[in-house]
Parts: sequence; C-alpha cells; structure tokens
Amino acid sequence: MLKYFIRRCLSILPVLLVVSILVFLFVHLLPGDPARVVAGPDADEATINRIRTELGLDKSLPEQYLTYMGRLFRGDLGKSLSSKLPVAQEIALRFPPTLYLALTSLAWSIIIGILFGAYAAMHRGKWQDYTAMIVAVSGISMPQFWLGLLLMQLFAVHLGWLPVTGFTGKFKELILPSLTLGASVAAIIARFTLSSFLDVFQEEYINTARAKGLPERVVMWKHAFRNALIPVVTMVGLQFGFLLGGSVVVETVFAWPGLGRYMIESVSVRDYPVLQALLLLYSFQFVIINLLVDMLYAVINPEIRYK
Amino acid sequence: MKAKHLVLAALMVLTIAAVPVFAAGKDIIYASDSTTKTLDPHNTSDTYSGAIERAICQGLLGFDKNMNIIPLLAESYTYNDSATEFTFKLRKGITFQDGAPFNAKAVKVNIDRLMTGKYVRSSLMDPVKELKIIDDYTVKFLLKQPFGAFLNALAHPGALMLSPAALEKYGDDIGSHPVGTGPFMFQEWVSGSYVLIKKNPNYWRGTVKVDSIKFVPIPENGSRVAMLRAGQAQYIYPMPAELLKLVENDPNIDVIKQPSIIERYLIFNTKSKVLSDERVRQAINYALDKKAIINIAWGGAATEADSVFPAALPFFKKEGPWPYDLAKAKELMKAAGYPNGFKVVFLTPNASARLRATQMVQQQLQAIGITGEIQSMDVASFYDMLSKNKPDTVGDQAFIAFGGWSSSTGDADWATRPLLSTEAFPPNMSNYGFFEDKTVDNLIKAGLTSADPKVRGTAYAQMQDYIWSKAPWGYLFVDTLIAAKAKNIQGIYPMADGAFTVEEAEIVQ
Repeated sequence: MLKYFIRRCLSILPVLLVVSILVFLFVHLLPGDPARVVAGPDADEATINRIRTELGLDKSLPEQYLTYMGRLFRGDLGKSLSSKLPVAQEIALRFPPTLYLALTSLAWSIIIGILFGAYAAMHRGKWQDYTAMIVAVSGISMPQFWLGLLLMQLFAVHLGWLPVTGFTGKFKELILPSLTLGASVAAIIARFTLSSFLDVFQEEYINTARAKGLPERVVMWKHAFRNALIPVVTMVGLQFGFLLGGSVVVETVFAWPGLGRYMIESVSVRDYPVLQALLLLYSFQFVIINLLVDMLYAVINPEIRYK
Repeated sequence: MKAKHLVLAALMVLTIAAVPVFAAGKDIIYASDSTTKTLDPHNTSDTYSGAIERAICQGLLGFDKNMNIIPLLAESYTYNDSATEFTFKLRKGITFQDGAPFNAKAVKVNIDRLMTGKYVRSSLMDPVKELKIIDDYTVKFLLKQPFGAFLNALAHPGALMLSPAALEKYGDDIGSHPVGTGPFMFQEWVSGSYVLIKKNPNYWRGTVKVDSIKFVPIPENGSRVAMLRAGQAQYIYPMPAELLKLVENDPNIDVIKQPSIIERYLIFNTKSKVLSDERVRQAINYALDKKAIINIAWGGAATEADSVFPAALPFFKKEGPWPYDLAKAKELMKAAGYPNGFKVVFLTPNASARLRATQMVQQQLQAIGITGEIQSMDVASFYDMLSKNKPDTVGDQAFIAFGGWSSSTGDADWATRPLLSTEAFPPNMSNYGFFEDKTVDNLIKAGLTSADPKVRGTAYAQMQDYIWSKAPWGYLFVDTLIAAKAKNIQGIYPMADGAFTVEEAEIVQ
C-alpha cells in the first residue's frame, strides 16, 4: 500500500511536466496581446512596445518557456502582469475562500445527496422516490445565478439575516454561496446514489441477506451501503476537483474572492503567469484527488487492495 | 477525536459569526463592477484604479467634478504662446502623508520616474525634454515641440505625485503602498477583495468628513443592487439601467445620472472600396435609428451623439444628432452606385450590450441593402485583431466595427488625434478605420500647437464641422453614467470619464 502510494506520487511529476508545456502553449497561443491590455485601450505603439519588453514578452516562445520553467523549479511563479503582485501571493489570497466554499458545499451535498438517494432507493417506485428525484432534477436544472440571486433577495435583502456578498472569514457568509453551489452537486450525488443502490440490490448477497430474514434496515445500511458507495466516491472526488477550481458563476454572483473569478479576470486581461499557475494548480489538484479516491476505495472495500 | 474537532470548529465559527458586521463610525462602502489592478498611478491604465489613486494622491493640476482643469498642488501656472514652456508655482506647506515635504524636488522625482519610460503612463511625459527646478517651489517643463494639451497631461491620474520617501522605500512595490497628499490615506489592499482608505487627519484643504471608504468589487449587477438595498453598500456604480425600477421608488436610495465623455460609434473601414465612398458612410448614418438602439440595447442610458466627441469635453461644438431618414439614405446609396447595397462584416466585442447594439445596427442596415454576419469576440481579441491590420491590405475586407472611446486626459486632442489622424494608424494608435484626410491632420496639428484656448477652440470647431460631414464613423451615442447611493451619503460624485471623486464625501442624518 505504502509502496503503491509512493509510486503514484512520483508518477505525478512527469504528468505535471507535460501539463506545464501544454498549459504554456495554450496560454501563449490565445489570441490577444497582454502588453496591449496592460497598456490600456488608448496606448500608443511605443508604450505597448515598452511594456512588452518590460514584461519579457518580446522574447521567443521557447526562450520564454525556459525562463518560466527555470523560475518554476525555484518555486517562483512570477508576477501578475496586471497587478504586478507575486502570483503565489495572489493565489494564496484566493485559495482559502474557494477551498472553504468547496468543502462546505460538498459537506452538505454529500449528506443530503446520499440520504435522498438512499431514501429513493428504499422506496423505489413509490411517491417518496418520485418526490426525492423531482427535487434532485430541479437541483441539477436550476441555473446557479438564478438560485443565488433568489436566495440573496430572500435571506439577505428582505429578511436581512445574512450578508449579501463577500467573504471575510465568517461562517455566515458561507451559507448562501454554499447552498447555491451545493444544490446541483447534491442532486448529482442523489441520482448517482440511487442508481448505485439499485445496481447493488440486484446482487445475490442482497437476496441472501433478505432471504435469511434480515430487516430491510440492516440489509440497506450493512450490506448494500458500502458497496453502493464506491461509484459515489469516484464521483464525489471528481466534483471536489471541479469545486476546487472555483465556480465562476457563484463566485461572481456572491462577489466571492476566489479562484474561479480570478481565472475569468485573468483570461480577459491575458495575464499569462496567473493563467499558467492556475491551470497547473488545477491539474495538480485533480491528480491528488484521484490518488486520494483510489486510496479511499481500499478503505471502503477491503477486497480492493493494491499491489 | 474527529467529532471533537468538528464541534470545536463549529464553536469557533459561531463565535466569529456573532461579531456584528459593521462597527459604528463614518464608514462608506463603495461597490463597483471593477477590480483594483494596482495603486501605482504611474503604472495604471484603468479608470477605476485611477479614481481610487486620486483619493490618495494629487497632481499639480486636477479636475473638478465637471472635468474642468483646476490647480491642485500647483498654486498657479504660466506658459508661453507656442506651448513649449510651462512654469508652475507650487503650493507651500504641504506634506505627504508620511511626512515628506512637497516641493520642487518631489515633483522632479515623480516626473523623472515617469520619464524613464518604464511605466504605462510614461507616454504622458513623451513631449517633455526636461524638467527644470527654478527654486524650491517653482518648476519649469521644457517641451520638445509645441503641445497645447500639456496641462491635461498633468491633470491626468497618471501624473499624480507620490511621496519621494515612499518611492525610495518601496521602489516599484509602491503600487501596494501608495503615499500622496490627498484627503485619504491608503490603509489596506486585499487583492480581489477590497481596498480600504482612511481619512487623512492633516489634509491641507480642510477636514475630511468620513472616517474610511472601502472599495469592493461586485461584478454581478443584481448583487450590487442587492448590496445597496440591504444597506451593505452605500454607493454603487454602475447602477444597471435594467434594474432602475427596483430602486427608483425606494425612499432610502438616490439615483444619480451623469453625462459621460464616453462616445460610441461604428468604425468604418475607409480603405475598403464600398466604405471609402463618403456618400455610403453618410447613408449609413441616415439609416441608423440611434434612439431605438439606445433604448433597447443600452437600457436608455445614453444620448444621441451630436459631434465627433462628447459635449462634456472642452471645445465641443454641437453638430447633430444625425437625423434618421431612410429615404435620404436610399438616395445616397443609389447615387454612390449601390442601390441594392453590399455585404460587410460586423465586428464587436462580445460584452452583451455591445453585441446587442451591433445586432440592431445589422438589422437596421438591411433597410438599405447592407447585410453581413456578426463576428463577436472578447475585448482583448477584438483590439488585437484590429491593431494587426495594415493600411495596404485592410481594404480587402469591408468591416464595420463597434467602437468606443473615452478621452482619458479630458481634452479634445485626445478625443480626435488617436482616432482619426494619419499618424494614429494601427498599430501606433487607434485609427482602426484607417481614415486618412489631410485637412483633419492639419486641424489636429493646429489644435495642438497652441495652449491658448481661443486658438485651440477655433481649430476644434472647424475640425468638428469637417469631420461630422465626412462621416468616418457611424455616430451612435454618448453614455449616460448611472450611480445609486443611500440617501444619507453626500459628496461622492461620478465623473464624466467613469471615475469618481470622494473628497467631499459625508454621511448626513
């Protein structure tokens, strides 16, 4: 297990190297000239050229890549073209808000999702099933900006219970955005849990359990639950990866100082160093999450072991 | 163990949540759609960051809220007739917020910094040959050639004065630690979250009436309005036109409308065969129903363009608006030899209002037979594409592009020269339609070679008459800026260039 873990960790490095090249090319091949954006809409050519030189963008692509990689190995992500602040500092400011939002949303959507899914599975074909799934489908279908603005109108503007936007580290501020962001995730988890349970119910060991007269509760939670959980865990892992990238819509609606909004802002001003760092971070997060999910399989189902 | 942690975390969270959100005091929250990019005035290219810098720092000259030039750190100024020498007497007894004295040396440090050419706003000092210190409180700019708009360059946010001591201490990190002579002192900038400034107790122009102002970026229109309605922001800009109904009947909210210096127009590729004919360009102007475009695409927040540049700029001369007259448009098309019209390409940034406006233009021009696809792209790609055109090949594609301009120096020169002179062909500046006209070039020069308002006024009046009839653009409209505020807030004014001034801000009962 430990060996496997170490081997997997080492295999991350070549993946990240390939990603770094792809990311670099992708970012630099975007149409649009960062020097022009930094210089502003009314700059003349001389100013734009001065800035291009100042930013090192007048050098050839391979040269720029080598400089970039050289710095990266020394742990230097460069400076944002737009704010002139170190990229590492800019990301460090925005990572915690996105992380908190992802964790909170995921926490409640796992609980609600699995409960709803399991509940619907237990009452397959009855009104409870239909109700649970109607709620779930609504959750998936509801546009986030609409749900977000509705919640905001009700709880922040009319009732005045919660702050409208922003994040300064208070739990109160997390409630509305995490509800908005988690709604669709909870719904996806619920649907997944339902279908996973239904698959497991076809298995012979469930028939055996029922045949020996175990109460449905025990069949459900002791025999079916663990097995039904495996695909759900994979899916939760993936969702967590996406959530960690920051939700553009929710972060925009709630003026959340997170990574999703930062990504969009950086694309619109072609902030190369920031884009590269963010894309690398996203890839890194996904690789790590995949690794953790694989590890979790073994915890949930002892039959799955790695050599 | 884990459960214990959870309980602990929950308890901590609850205690934090119990602290009231707002402390008592005279604090204002200003919510905007923009994000602060930097607080180094010499390195700023966006209006929003520049406006915050103006609360912290001041220049030799500045603008009042109607964008008239006023002396600020300079007490008075004189210049010669040929606009090559400008002398400034500085105000005495002013200190920067860190205690450094304001004097001729401080001015020199700032101007020299700009003149290194390393900064975004270095171009403001391009006309300057040398800055001479005459005595402790007198400086003299010697220019390379006549530049009548030089006073505007010194009133620009890019020429704000930073403390020489702070520049020494922070170097180019001054962008996170600006120190000036303004009514507010920089307190904190959390990139992406907010900028906080607090009152300067030693402000030389008098007492500042609020304790602090916090600038927060709220990109989503609906959320910004919600902030104001819930009392969690006291001033919002822009107030989205489509949501005006929500706040107009609210007794606690005031709406402020301000004509801007932002003009919107259609750039005609005048090098293409069809659009090189001025009759065709005039026909298009006749075929545009500007009122409909304003009401539908712009939420009514604009007025029809009535000259090459907006009325809020100096030397403006009213020429229009261009009448909407389809019969005349068709007549002109026929005279030009295109009774059945032709094909063009419409280019526009994909920002929703601009795209909507372009769609309406596309629709309206069908009436005179001009048809074409719309190509929309994000702003950076749009300008990148336009600036890569070359004068000898651009004529191959007849395009009509949705353009807009705000003269950041608040002067007529900067509203015409970068857009319509031959020297402004891309990539040098923004004459994206490659409009080429000797008369215009000469009038632009005439407006620049004197600093005498009379001489300049005559040149710009002639220029506006001439350009208006030549129709290098499809004249559309001038934006109306809309802000909204809590009733008890006074003294924050939107400026015609989209910036704002907070110096006189106060909270009344």
